[in-house]
Amino acid sequence: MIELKNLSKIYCTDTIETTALNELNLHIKKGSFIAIKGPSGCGKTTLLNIMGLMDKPSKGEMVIVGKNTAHLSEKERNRLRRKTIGFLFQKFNLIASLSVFENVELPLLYEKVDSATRREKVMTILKQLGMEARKDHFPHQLSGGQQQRVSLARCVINDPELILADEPTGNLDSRNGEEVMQRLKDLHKSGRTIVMVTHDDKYASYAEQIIHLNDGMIM
Amino acid sequence: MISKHIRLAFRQILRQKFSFAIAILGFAVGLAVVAHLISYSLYYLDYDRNVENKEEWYRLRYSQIHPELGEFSSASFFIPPAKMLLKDIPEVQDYIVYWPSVIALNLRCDGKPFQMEEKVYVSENFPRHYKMEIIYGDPDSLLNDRNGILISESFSRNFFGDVNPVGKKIYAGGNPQYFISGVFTDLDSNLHLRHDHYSLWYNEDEYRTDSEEDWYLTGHVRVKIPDKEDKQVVEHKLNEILDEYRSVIGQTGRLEVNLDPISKIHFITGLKDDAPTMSILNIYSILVLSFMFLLTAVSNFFIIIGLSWKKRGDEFYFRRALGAGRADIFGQLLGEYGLYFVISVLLGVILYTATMSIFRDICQVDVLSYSLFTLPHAFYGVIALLSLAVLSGVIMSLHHSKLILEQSARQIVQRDRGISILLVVQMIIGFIFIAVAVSVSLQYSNARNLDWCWDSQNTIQYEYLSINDTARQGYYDARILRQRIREIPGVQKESVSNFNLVSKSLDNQNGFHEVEIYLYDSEMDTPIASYLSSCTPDFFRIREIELLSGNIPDEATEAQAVVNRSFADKYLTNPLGSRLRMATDDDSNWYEVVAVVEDCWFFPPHHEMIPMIMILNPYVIKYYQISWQEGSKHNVLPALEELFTDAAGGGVFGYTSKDIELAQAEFYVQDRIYKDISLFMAIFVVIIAVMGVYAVSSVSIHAQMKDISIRKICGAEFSDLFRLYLKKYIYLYILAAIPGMYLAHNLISLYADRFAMQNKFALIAFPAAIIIMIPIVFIPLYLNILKAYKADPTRYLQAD
Repeated sequence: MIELKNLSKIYCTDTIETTALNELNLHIKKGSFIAIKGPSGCGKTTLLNIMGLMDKPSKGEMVIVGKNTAHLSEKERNRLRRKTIGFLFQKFNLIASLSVFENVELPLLYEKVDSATRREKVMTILKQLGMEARKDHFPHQLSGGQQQRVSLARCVINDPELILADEPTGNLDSRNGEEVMQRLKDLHKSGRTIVMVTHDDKYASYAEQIIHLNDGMIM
Repeated sequence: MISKHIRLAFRQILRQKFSFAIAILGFAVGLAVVAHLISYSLYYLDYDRNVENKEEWYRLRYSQIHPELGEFSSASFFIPPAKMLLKDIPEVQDYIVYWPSVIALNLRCDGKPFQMEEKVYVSENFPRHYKMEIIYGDPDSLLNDRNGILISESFSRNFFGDVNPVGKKIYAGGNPQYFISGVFTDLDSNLHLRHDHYSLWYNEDEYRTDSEEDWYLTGHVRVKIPDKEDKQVVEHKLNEILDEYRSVIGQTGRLEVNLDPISKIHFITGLKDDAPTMSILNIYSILVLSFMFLLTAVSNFFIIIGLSWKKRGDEFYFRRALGAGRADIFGQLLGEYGLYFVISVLLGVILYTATMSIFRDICQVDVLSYSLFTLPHAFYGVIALLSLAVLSGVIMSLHHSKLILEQSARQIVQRDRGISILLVVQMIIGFIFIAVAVSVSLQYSNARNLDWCWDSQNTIQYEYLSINDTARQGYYDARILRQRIREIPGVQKESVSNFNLVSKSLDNQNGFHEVEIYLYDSEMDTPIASYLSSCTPDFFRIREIELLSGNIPDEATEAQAVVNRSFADKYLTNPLGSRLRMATDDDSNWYEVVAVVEDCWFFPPHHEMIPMIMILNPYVIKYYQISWQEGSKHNVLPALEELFTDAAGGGVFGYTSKDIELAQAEFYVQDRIYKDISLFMAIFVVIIAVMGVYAVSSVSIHAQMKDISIRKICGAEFSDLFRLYLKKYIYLYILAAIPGMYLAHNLISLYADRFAMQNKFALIAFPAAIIIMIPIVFIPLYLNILKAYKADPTRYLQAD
């Protein structure tokens, strides 16, 4: 699914060079569930951003679903991301001015899916997540757990092969955290590849494999 | 603490150079431009400011009300009653008389021609009226002697150098006639009766109220009435005087006197012999435009500073965490705001000072004497500016200190709405300025390129008094003069008329006599009002004025006339052979219409085309129009000067000359100024609007970077994002275009109403404004969305 070869990310300022990822080599198989752990600043989020095609490596290569991302244009990266990857964030990242329905609908909108199909798909997933009754609510009218469920619905509405989750339970209480992890486990069971960044050993244990990152290197 | 705030403010300027450059520079430019326009407007609003007790003075004007011909108003008043004013009307405390004579005199002083375009006669108290400062001469007896001439400092310096000229003799036709009685410092240029020289009006005893000839004299008469309540009483008494002398005044219809306040006389329109110096509507529209201009600059200033504070939300959050209260945040914001304001004002003053002479050249009025540094109101201006600074600073700082600490979803919505409103306001102003500038330029260009019926380039007009056929001593016979003109190598053609071909006002002195005419009718004589003048029969052929019907004989008899198309269309069904006579002539003195010629503009196109009768056998000839072959100007002009000097040498009358093209350009001075100012402001508005829309959309989009990033990770392409904002901006654009076009239409109408001749093509200004505004609004939006699209979304998704 994902292959990283000697991948490095170096941030440069006028005077300092900071190596966030250092000569990383990693192979993530299709259908696997990976948890990335490590102390703050070790490069977890940077790695996730590069895998999610939101950032580019300074050195090295990344192959995702068989495509070497080094030579992709911005448009191609966009398309690949839209079709293949779903994101789940600690802060939910819902658009405040859009309703629950509209937030979930966004990826389909950009995929140019027709209105009737969009409606059907969104309503189906909201029903699955128990958010059907809240479809017209705005994010500030929802609890943290509900917001994360909406975020999860948006993440999977396009049926992505890869789900990247950046501390998805970080802002939730344990009950809601467990619920989100259960959903991710279900998604994994249905064949999705999941890469999750977490600090919490309890949630890391849901993964098939745990990668420890320190100073930009896999330990 | 304040120094810390200021240091921090400086750092902010350095950190956000572009935004602050737009905010500060835009505000500074706005202040400078508005300061220029205010001084320009004050120049006109404060006309005749140096008159002693200005508010107590009134100009006498009379209206002739005719039951059939309508009403005509004249800025000139009969001079004979002037001396009665003090004697018979106790409410009048003082008066002045002003009478310009346009007949050029052949004057010499110190062996050189002493050229005065016109000789200006004023009453003895005139120097006191205009508070003249006397450099040379006895202030108590400046105009005691009717042969004395009072000259200005610059006139004296040009003619006599640094010598005291008082007592110098001036010779008319070889005889000592006048002398210099005094020199005064140059008068302000915004004086109604400003000249470089004044002579004493006739001694009061010399004109008689029972003489019909003296009642023929009309001039500018002002009276001083200390009590406003007495104005109507004076008008009433003057009406009684005119009634009393009705039989010798020699005008038909009812006469009615009006007293015009001095501060307003130069704005009064519709007078047959005094065009307004400037349209009051132009002044007001310029003030409205400058207010809008300032509004644009100020709104940019407020938005950008407010949004720069918004960007620093984290900083204020940390400060709050470290113990800062709202008062501390307010103090910091106020200190920063004060610095930005002071920098803008200082920069504005520098810009204003640096561009003063440029603006003076554009508007061609002495705005320097109305600069912000010399005006008595300047102090109040500074106080107003400081109050604005403090007030806006307090409001801005209070508002933002609250917003920063307690920002809620409702406030975010309000902020977005506020930004949208400001964007709409900027667009409205942009629409207005562009439409006005385009329309005014088209209208100006159309009026400027008017078909004059004859070649105005390569032509000069000499004004020299001569008597046709029987030249008396002191006059040069017109036929001999014409022959000598034709003999000058390079002269292509010459014509003569008794009316000025480039007349600023249609009055007697320019040869346009507005008279009552009777048209011969089998039933009865029909009275009409028309302009009447005279010219030689060859005038129309030489000046290429199209003959529409009839024939113009080579040698006219005394009873033949030509009428223009306007006259024929208005009054005559079958013009050829029609007969007409002046109301004042006897019943047997009829003229026959032998031809109809095309209308021709001998006057500014602001005036509608006049019905005109031209008698073909002039007794007096004043105007000689001479055209030369291309490239012969430099040979012809010196020869003409020599010829007219010789022609004037033997008599008392002199000559003046006028380049026709330049004289025509003078018709449009006001319009050109208005056009230049509109263009000048439109350019600045476009620059400020581009910067403003860029800054506002930039900050607005920046505030939504998180939303954009979310959309981006959801797969949004650039086109998706652009479409999203485009929809909103198109809506705002339409919302702004409607009031913008409406207001522009009103302003354009104000300008176009000045012209009798309207330009239909000026309507193109509206689509032009819509097209020009498209890149102004949408290119900044495009660039900002592109910038946002290229930004790293992870920065915004993880931060909160």
